[in-house]
Amino acid sequence: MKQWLLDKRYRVIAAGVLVAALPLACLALYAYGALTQNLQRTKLDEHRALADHVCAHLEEKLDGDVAFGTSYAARLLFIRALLADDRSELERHLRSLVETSGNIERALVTSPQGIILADYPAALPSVIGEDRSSKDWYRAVSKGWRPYVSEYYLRGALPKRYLFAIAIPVLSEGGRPAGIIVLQPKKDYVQKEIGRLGASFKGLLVYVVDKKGNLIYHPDDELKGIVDFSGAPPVRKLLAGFRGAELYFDPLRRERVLGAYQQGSTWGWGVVVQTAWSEIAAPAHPVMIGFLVATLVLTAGGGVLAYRAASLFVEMREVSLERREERDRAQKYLDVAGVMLTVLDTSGKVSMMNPKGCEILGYPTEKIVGSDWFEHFLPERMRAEVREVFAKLMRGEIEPVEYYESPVLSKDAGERILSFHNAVIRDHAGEIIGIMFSGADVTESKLVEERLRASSEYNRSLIEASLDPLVTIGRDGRITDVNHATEEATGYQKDDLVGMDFCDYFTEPEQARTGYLKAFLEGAVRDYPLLLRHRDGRTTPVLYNASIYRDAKGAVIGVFAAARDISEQQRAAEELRGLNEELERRVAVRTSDLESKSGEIRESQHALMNLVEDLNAATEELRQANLKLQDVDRLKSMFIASMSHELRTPLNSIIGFSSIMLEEWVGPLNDEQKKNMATVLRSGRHLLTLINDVIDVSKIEAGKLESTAEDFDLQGVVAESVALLKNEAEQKGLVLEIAAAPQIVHSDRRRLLQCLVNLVGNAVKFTERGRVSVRTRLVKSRDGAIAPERVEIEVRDTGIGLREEDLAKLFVAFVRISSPLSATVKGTGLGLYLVRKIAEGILMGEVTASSTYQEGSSFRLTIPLILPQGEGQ
Amino acid sequence: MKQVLVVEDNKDNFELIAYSLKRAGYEVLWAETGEAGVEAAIREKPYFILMDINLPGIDGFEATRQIRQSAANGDIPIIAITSYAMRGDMEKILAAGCSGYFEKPIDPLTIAEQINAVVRKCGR
Repeated sequence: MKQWLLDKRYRVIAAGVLVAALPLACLALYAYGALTQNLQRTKLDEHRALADHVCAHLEEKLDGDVAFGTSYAARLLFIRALLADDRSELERHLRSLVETSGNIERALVTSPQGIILADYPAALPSVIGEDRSSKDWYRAVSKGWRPYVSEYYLRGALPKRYLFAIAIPVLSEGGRPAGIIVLQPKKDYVQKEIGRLGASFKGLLVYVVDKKGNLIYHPDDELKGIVDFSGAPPVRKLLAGFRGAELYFDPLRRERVLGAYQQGSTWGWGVVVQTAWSEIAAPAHPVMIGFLVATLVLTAGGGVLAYRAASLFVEMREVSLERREERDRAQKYLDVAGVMLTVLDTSGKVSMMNPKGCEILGYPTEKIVGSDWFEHFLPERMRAEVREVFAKLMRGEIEPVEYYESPVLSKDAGERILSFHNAVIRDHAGEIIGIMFSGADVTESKLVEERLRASSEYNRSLIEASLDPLVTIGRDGRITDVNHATEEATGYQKDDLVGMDFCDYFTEPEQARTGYLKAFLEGAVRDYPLLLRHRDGRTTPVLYNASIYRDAKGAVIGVFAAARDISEQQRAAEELRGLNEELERRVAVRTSDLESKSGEIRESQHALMNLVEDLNAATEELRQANLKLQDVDRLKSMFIASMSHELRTPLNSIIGFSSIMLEEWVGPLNDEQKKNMATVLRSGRHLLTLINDVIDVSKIEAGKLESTAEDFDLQGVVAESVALLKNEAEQKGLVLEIAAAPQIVHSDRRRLLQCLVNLVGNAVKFTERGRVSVRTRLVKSRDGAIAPERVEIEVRDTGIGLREEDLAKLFVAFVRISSPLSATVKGTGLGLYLVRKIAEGILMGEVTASSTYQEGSSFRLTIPLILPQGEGQ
Repeated sequence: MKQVLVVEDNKDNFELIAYSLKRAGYEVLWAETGEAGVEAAIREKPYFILMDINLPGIDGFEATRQIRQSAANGDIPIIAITSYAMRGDMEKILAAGCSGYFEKPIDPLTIAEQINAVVRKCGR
């Protein structure tokens, strides 16, 4: 019979489990399918967007570097160095290019035929002069002389590296090719750019191929030797002209991956972004596991319920069998019980009393059963009150007090104090039919207890007043006492707690056990951290301080443990950490903002730096030229200073001695000697004039010629100048005439004479026949004042004259007008220049000329009658 | 024959001047430095002195001042000969005690005549 029940019970359990588990498992499978499909769609979109983003970014970066190279290729200084084949200068330019760019490792420049002219840093052994016309960048650039981002190409050394080149044509004026700049970006060029795009690439594989499917960049170093990626599924799609994202099998990784592929439109790089499907699907697994667990739990729950039902069924069968035995046994209990056991009916009459009860009260059973409990066995002073409570109890108006102490009257010993436990008795219908209670005679122990309570209540109030949870623990680890704060912290009542394992109320029971064992061993523990667990699941971080306590004989009977709630402190620390993290995050965001900004600034700085460098080079050239000029000027001054003394002293001897010899002071000369000596004298004088002119010119130009004004007769000065040239004119058979009236002027006589000698000398020099006349006349002032203020001295000749176009050159230094006479007439070309300088700078006047070619010239010197004071130099 | 003194450090210049002065009837003494010139002037008491300004050692100004300070030679005509570079120093020359001055280059054909004109002005 029992075996059958048990079998049946298992069947019920199995059915319950099946009913609960099947629909749950189906639901879980369906949810998992929907979740992964949705995930795949989302991830594909995400991958596609990332691939587009990376591709656009790389294109933009390449655009930037091509523009950088192109701007450098357009620099005049660079083109000049290239055309001049100045290798050291070219290398300097390349260095500047490499250093300013920041992401270029090496640069070289070739001729338009692809021969390397310079490189930086210089390769070892040198590659200068080598032919690179077979490179694809050369073939591409030389086709149209436009910038080109090269295909992947190999460097000779192993291991192979992913390299590419940015080739920029250099065009000279008129667009003729002058060469090619080739920039070789740094090894981490692409990696750095991808890195700059930030954390969104975590867990993603990003690689880049060129337009032929060769690998430009792959984060996996192991792949260095593999070049051709055209076989990879996404690259195959790219080469066929497709862009997109899909789930495919990656033969390299031997697993299914989710990948997106995109190709740049300008430079042709393909970008692939992919992730292993297993990684993407991973987040769905916990959900799946969650469903499975839920299925298991619910299944188990179904099993338990089924088991309970089966058990109940079995028990009901068994109870009826066992009830009789139990009744017999109960009677025995009543007989041997050490306490009074009594039943009262609703009217308060005793309907049952056990032997111990009879003994306490001092009457035989027959006397007690059937008599009124209150009337006979309670002290008279409390009968009315207790009877009233009892009546209410019987009407169901109040619940019974489970435990109380109360006196009873015994036949021999007067009042005894009993401790009572009550329970209301009901019939099957739930109607109250009486009360049952037990009563233990505690008259003796009560007296002891009274005394004890007096002292312990004081201690107790201290303990209860504590806000910290306090617990006492016995040697076996069971709780022996708690205060109110402990009830608050655990959510359990004291009665529930006492007798339970102390360790059950913490998240780490083993640690709690170690804690109180330590207290037993060492006498105390201090600030022992534990996590107190509340009934509703929340936890409170506490620090425990515990010490042992002893009984009256000094034996250790337990541990007294006090917990300090430190959740407030922890929360404060947590908030602080949260604030710190937020701050760090903001700093990181701000820093990356700044970095990307500074990138933009750096690029515009490069352009600016190029301009400034060109400007500096030009300025430096000017400065050098200026220094040379200053040097020349200083040499000129030194030369003139030494001329003024050192040249003239010996010249004076030549002139002096030749003149006295010619005068025959030292003895007679024959005709030939006289002629020779005359030549010496003439040459000496001519040389002296030249030297004096040069010195005067240089002084005038330096502003160092001083003027000395005095009163003198103009007519006298004119006469003196003419007299000085009289001999020469007479020798040529010219007429020299003066038309001048006496006129006092206030001016620099010496300089005026110098001008006139020059003008008259020129007239005589350039006139072969006819006359040279000097006239003076007063000139009215321009604003029509009555008194004349200026005087004009005109020197007119009938000489060879000047062409119109030569007139303008007349007063310019070192210019000699070519004429039929110029070969025979000596001169420095300084004469008229000096006249003009003196006339304008010293005499504060002017000199003009007019002429008719082959008929004659007229020079007019006009000066103020009174030299303005303080002016002139 | 009247003795005259020429203080001039350049021998060529001295000889040229000496030709002119000898021809004009003077006996010419020569001092090569300022110091020698001062000594000769005090010792010989010449009829006049031609003094080059630009001299090694003490210059023509200083030599002129020293000659003027010696009691016996207070009124000897001293005629300065200035180099081209010193043009404009006329006042300085007269302040030092010179009776007149000529600028180089000197013309040997006319110098004696010009000197005589200055000496006459000094009352000799």
